[in-house]
Amino acid sequence: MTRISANRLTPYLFIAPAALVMVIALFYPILYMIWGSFRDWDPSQSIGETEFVGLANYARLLADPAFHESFWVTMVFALTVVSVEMVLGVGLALLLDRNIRGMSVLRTLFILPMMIAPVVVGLVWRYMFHQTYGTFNRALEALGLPTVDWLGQNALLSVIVADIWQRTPFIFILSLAALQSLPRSALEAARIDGATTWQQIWYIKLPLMMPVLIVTMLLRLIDAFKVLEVILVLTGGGPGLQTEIVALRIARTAREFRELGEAAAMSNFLLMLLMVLTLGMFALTRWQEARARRQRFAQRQEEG
Amino acid sequence: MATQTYDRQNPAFFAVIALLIFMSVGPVLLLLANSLKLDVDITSGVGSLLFMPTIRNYETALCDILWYEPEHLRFCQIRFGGAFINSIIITLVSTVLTLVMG
Repeated sequence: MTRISANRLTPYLFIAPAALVMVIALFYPILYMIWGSFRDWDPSQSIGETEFVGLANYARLLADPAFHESFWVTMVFALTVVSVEMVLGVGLALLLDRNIRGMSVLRTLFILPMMIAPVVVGLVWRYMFHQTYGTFNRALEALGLPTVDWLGQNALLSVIVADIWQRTPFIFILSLAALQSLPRSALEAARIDGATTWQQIWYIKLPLMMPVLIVTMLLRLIDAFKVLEVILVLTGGGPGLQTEIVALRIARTAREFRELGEAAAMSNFLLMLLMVLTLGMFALTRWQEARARRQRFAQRQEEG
Repeated sequence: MATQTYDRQNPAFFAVIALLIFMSVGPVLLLLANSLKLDVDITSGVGSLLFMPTIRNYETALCDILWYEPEHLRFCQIRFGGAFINSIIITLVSTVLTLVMG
């Protein structure tokens, strides 16, 4: 081996052990899950003892109305919570991006819900939504209004409210960080040119924040598709299948129905969906960056 | 010495902030208040803000790591201390492994 090729190989040799561990730790569980999804797998068996059934688990999944219902609930839940959280989180960040006394205390208070364990969040909101002694129904009674069956007919709405309460601070904290890292010169120039507050937000702040907002939305979307604890504690997926999201369906299929193969097929389905979403988001980011580059180039040409 | 100057704000801004703080912190305060109540006070319909605070729930939760035996407990059922130690071990090991591998 020549000296030059040995020098080229050296960095790869240094990172090889860490890369090997990463690849094994990352891909072994995924490959195990993919392999398991093609087997008729009972929890009492090791995967080697199971029978190969091809795509039967996937076929059963696609024909299962309960899975369709779970998938639909997950889509409604994820899209609603992420949309509302983005609006509230970014709105709150825009509201608090100013120089006022006690700002650090305010920020700490607003991110408090994010610090609480999801199981505890589920328990607190379960108490507040309780039909008889819950905070909301007591308040409605005190106002002379009829009580609401929060965890019955309106269970999905209740779960959405609890999630929005807990996760909005995540969007808020990232949006505020993005806002505070914006170039002050651009904002000053806009102010001097007479741009109103809304014009500054719409034409300067939001476009400049967009790359951060897209990544934040992607992270929240992935998380929303996997949410489990709050719903498990708050409604247990009920009443009926009204709040049974895919993650809960997977857990039930594996533990209660003892169908590990089918649960693995559902997990792969969810994984594929999240991968498509992630790739879509990255494609959108790249397209936006390319468009911004083209606009800057066109502007420079006009000026030149 | 340079002094920090702050922007003057509209009173409506502070009203909105107060409402948002109430919405954000309210459930946390409720959690704290309930932890200092007896079960009967939590489920009773009257005066949820007027109650005699007690540390009984904390004694029940921490009974396996307390240096004394709480009077109201016949036996220690909740193993919060053990669960807490498990959480610390899992957190530390996973953080160290993630940092080393990543």
